[in-house]
Amino acid sequence: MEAEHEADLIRQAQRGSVSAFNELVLRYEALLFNVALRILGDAAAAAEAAQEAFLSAFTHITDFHGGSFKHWLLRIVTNACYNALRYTQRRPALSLDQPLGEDSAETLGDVTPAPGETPEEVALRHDLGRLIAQAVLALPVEQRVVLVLCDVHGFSYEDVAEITRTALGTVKSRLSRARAKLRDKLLAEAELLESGMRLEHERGDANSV
Amino acid sequence: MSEETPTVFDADDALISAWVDGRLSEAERAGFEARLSREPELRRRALATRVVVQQARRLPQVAPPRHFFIQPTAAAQPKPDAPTPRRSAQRFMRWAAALMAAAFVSLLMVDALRPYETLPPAQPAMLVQPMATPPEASLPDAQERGGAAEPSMQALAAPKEAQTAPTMPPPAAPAPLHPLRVGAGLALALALVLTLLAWRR
Repeated sequence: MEAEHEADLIRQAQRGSVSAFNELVLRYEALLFNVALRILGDAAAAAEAAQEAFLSAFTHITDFHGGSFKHWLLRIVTNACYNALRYTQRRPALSLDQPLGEDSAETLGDVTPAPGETPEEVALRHDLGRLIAQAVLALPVEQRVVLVLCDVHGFSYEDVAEITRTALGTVKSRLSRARAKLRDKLLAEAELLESGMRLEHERGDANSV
Repeated sequence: MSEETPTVFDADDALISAWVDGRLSEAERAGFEARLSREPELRRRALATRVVVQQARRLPQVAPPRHFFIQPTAAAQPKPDAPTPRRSAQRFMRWAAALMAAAFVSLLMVDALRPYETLPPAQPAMLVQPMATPPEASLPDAQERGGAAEPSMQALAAPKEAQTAPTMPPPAAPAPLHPLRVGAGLALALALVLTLLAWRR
């Protein structure tokens, strides 16, 4: 039902309906903004990339011939991020403690607290999240894109291969390299790692090995 | 923290990654987990990777600072890379000019490489004709041969003409331009005109 409605909106947008396209924007703007934010590390640049991606999607919507509209949009926004990084020749901003918006106290290093967590656990998770968010921004951009899509947003290898138009083996290789780099950062923080493992174990997240 | 630390990649990292994602087959998983129980360093790396993945999945989704709606005016904007009639004409003229320039160069080269023999024979500026028999020499000879003692008017006139050698040849008609050169000239002219038109547009 939802998929049919989306397909209908896409058809209307292809006939030139701006309002139909804006319904699609409303549906996917948070996803596109967050993907761009984790790739670029800067809220203003991420907003710019998301806006550019939607504008590009609208002007090229007749080129969309089926498949996953979400993946198509994600491909456009990751390309916008590549362009932003290429043209500005900058590394992502490492403003992890900087509020993401004027009315928001959220930072890139924040993590979502699990239900029932104690303040100590929340603080520990914040430290872990900050470490990981910073390490993600230090990754080479191709590895960062794959890790953001796979680990932060939970897309499968196959989805990421389709979004980034790369071979499945390349996705796996980039992901394992990216994870290894993040892991090495974490291993360097032994105390944090021990606490993290304990936390995962206590929450019952860890599988028995 | 921000400085890059080199990471040695090995096959185990790929295995760890697949294990964390539950992408190993039953046999692979059993073999890998047997190794984990035997190899503390591998176990440490695997568990640390799992913490990384779990924490990455808990990074928060941030509310966008604004909506990214498309304004109706954007609908009227043509695609940035859509070819307009003017752009198409300009592109056509640029290509045509390039083609003409290439034709000009090619024709010149063919003309230069043409064998010399095929060129029209050169007309010498002057023709040096062999000297006719001088009248002084021809008169006694004629007398010896028992011919007429008085040379005829024709016999006297001919040596006089012969004495005027070297003589100017009759003016040669201008050699016609070779078709290759005509073609090269036309191609150059067209290339120039098309370049000018493409530039002006």
